[in-house]
Amino acid sequence: MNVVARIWSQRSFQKLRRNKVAMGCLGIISVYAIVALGVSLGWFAGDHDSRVGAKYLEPSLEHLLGTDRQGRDIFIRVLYSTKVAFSVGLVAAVVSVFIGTAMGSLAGYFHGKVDAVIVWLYSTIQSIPYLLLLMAVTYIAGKGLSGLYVAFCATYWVGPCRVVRGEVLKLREAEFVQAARALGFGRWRILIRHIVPNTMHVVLVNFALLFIGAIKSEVILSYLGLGVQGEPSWGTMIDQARAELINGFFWQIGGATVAMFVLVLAFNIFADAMQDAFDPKAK
Amino acid sequence: MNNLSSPNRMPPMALSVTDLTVRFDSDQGSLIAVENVSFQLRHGEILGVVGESGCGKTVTSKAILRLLPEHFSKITNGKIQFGNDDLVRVTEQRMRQIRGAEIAMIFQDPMSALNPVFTIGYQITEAIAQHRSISRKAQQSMAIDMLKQVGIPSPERRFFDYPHQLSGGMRQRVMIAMALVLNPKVLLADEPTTALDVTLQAQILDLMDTIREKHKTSIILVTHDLGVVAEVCDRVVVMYAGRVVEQGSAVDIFKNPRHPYTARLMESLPQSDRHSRHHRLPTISGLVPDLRQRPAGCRFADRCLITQQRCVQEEPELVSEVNAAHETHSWRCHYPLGGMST
Amino acid sequence: MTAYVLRRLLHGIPIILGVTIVTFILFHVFGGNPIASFLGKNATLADIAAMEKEYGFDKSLPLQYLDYLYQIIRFDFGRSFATREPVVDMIISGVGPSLSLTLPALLLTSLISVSIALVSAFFRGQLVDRLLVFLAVIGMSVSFLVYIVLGQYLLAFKLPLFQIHGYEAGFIDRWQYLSLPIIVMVVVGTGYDTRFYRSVMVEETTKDYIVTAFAKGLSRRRVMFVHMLKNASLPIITRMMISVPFLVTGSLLLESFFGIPGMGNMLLTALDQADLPVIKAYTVVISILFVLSNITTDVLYAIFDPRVKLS
Repeated sequence: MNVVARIWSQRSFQKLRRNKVAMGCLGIISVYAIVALGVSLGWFAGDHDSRVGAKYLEPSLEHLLGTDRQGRDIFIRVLYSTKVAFSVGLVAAVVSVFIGTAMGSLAGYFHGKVDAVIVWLYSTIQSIPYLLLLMAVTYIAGKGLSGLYVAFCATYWVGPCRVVRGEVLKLREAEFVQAARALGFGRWRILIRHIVPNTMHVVLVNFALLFIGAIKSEVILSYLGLGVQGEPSWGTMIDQARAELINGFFWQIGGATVAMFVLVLAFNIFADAMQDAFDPKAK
Repeated sequence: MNNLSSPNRMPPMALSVTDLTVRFDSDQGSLIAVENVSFQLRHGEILGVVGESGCGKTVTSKAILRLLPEHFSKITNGKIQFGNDDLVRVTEQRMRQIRGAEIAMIFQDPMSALNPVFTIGYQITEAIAQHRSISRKAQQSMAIDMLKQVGIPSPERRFFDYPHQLSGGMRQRVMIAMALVLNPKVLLADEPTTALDVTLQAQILDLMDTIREKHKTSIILVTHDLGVVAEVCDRVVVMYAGRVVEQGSAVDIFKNPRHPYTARLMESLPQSDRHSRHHRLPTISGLVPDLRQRPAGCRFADRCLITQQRCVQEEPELVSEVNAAHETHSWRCHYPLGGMST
Repeated sequence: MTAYVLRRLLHGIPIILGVTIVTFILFHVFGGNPIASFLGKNATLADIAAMEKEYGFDKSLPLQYLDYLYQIIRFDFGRSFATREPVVDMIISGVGPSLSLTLPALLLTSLISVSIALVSAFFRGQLVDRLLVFLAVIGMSVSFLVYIVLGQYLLAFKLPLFQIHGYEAGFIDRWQYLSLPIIVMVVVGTGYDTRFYRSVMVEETTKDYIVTAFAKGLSRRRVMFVHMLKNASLPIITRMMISVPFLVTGSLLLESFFGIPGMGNMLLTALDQADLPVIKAYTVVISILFVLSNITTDVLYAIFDPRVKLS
């Protein structure tokens, strides 16, 4: 990475590190990540689908959030859903950010036809309401997690692509890029070594926003019957809890809602703090 | 310096700033942007406030009208005497009566300083309406008259133009017209010519000189450009890193600079004159120090060519001298240059 | 001006064509045999063939695409697989209920959000501002689904203020069904919009012209409500304009949850039944509206912002 980028990003990361609220949020996100990791490694919540007691049990030490209509432990299902949320969020954010950054930097750097085609492609995708596109893709790719992945990746890359393209358009005229050009570096080397690393701040912010977006959309799609099938997720739990509300049973909707709320809130605040810290205007 | 006809009686001051200190607070801690700044503005003079960017000159001028952003800046100390008012302490209500009517201000970039979505006529008459209860017609004719005075051709038509329809020089003239339309006693001009090219610069400076003559307006001209100062200023305040480092009459400052910083500013002048149209000051090596880490000694020590041990340890006091013309010349340096008073 | 509008419309054409290509590829190339998936496993080959002929699916793909374009130009999307009704009629009957839900919701959300954002920006950095921003972030972090479920439970079940589910077409009767979904939609949207409008306004208050306005001796109220707000109104109008196509899409979630027979519900049913003509028509109509509203926004900008040149 070149000197300008290094100094600048160090400064902004320092600013981020000094923000205690943001660091607290990062801590919360890490706890969720560890839970998600633990679930996927089979450390716990493997028995999320088994009947552990009577239905609609109130919370106790044994079942921290009680049991649902089928006598399954709600707390364990909440834990398991963390894994689902993280896989959806991570896959959607990583893949879309990767595609978006690649497309955006190509469009921004190589002007002309490449740019025209990419801009046309994302303007087109943007013109189709995103929930509709998501549903159309899941309809074709099949319901369930893999359908969700395809749907999110096909639609979410547009966001990072737009901002990265904008950044690259600015950066390609920057002095250090011109200097690199004067030194005779090749176009690809300049793009990959000098320009793309300097777009990382917007990419990181976008990553967080896409992560939140994917988790929230999963809930909605699961309710619409297009999301996760056969395993618990916060979306399916909230959906299932609707019927229980009328019986005055709140633990399922409460558990899923709070678990999701805390994660999304932490992510929202952290994304805000990143935006603040990386904003070159606010120094 | 024709206003010094009676040597022993200094004229009363148009504005007098004493020990002004401004603190900025942010998430990353606070910094003192301006520290114990004192200077006086005499009636009908043009006082230049000079320094590199970041030295606190703009903060000082905005602090006079209390225009600094409230939620992260604070005037922690000092006094700004204007007539019978101390501008640091007057109520917001009184301050609003003063702003625009008694002390007006113009800014560096007239494009961004004018509101893009209102016509210039609206923006000028708005200032009049705020302070005078006169008919719309009267406001309009006042504004058009002022536009004519600052040299806007066919002002009746221009009145309905939006800022982007005017050229850069015209925009700055509009700003000046807006500031002067209520005939204020004091005009704060913050880098009024920086955004303009050389010919326009000269025209705007001429205009300000004419205004001073005609309306007896006292002007504080904030600039980083010593060329501008040489052209129109009667006296000069040199600022560095939030401090006044030297002040005196323009003649003293130019003929006999005592602070090494002032001297270096001057040295850089003729060279940059040849290279660029703006007399920027990039030829002094090093940067203005980060105000968050205040040095114990003289703030210029790390860039000064004649730094001694004492300079790093102990901050110099302001030393004054009165010249033959009874003008005070003061500086803040342990080892001042020159020394032979003229 | 006319030339400008025409030019913008011409720019919209490749995008609309793009939408048709994307939807066509999605449904005809990747989507498998739509007739077979509609008729299900029990259909005979003869049934499938008959229906394929009826809907033109026996033609080659390029010909089918041209048919599709021709449908769009005529604004006639054939008949639904499921109901055998003309798709255009279904769309027209869905627009009314959708608009009754989304239009009041958009207006209320914008009004409330702009007001809150103004208060927040006015007291920028003070306790009121911090509190409002925090509330907005909290509001954004709660799932849409939770608002719906709790809203229905609390306001229609526990306190029977509104109808739980259903719809009546009468102009007065519909509101007992629509009020609750409108409230939910406003609550959901307010968090996002408030934050957006606040950041637009705060951005404006850092501009130099604000200092100039203060330097004239204007009151804070006048600086904020006249100088800042007029500049901020352009992004505010833009955001509202961008929402216009979504007025017609209706709200998939709310309509299905509360049983409002609008566009969203129609789409969900169509998806459920693999009713391809309806899905295709819906997608393309909405996308065209989206492109048109973008163009309208640009034109409005050109009219209201003195800085925009039409060249």
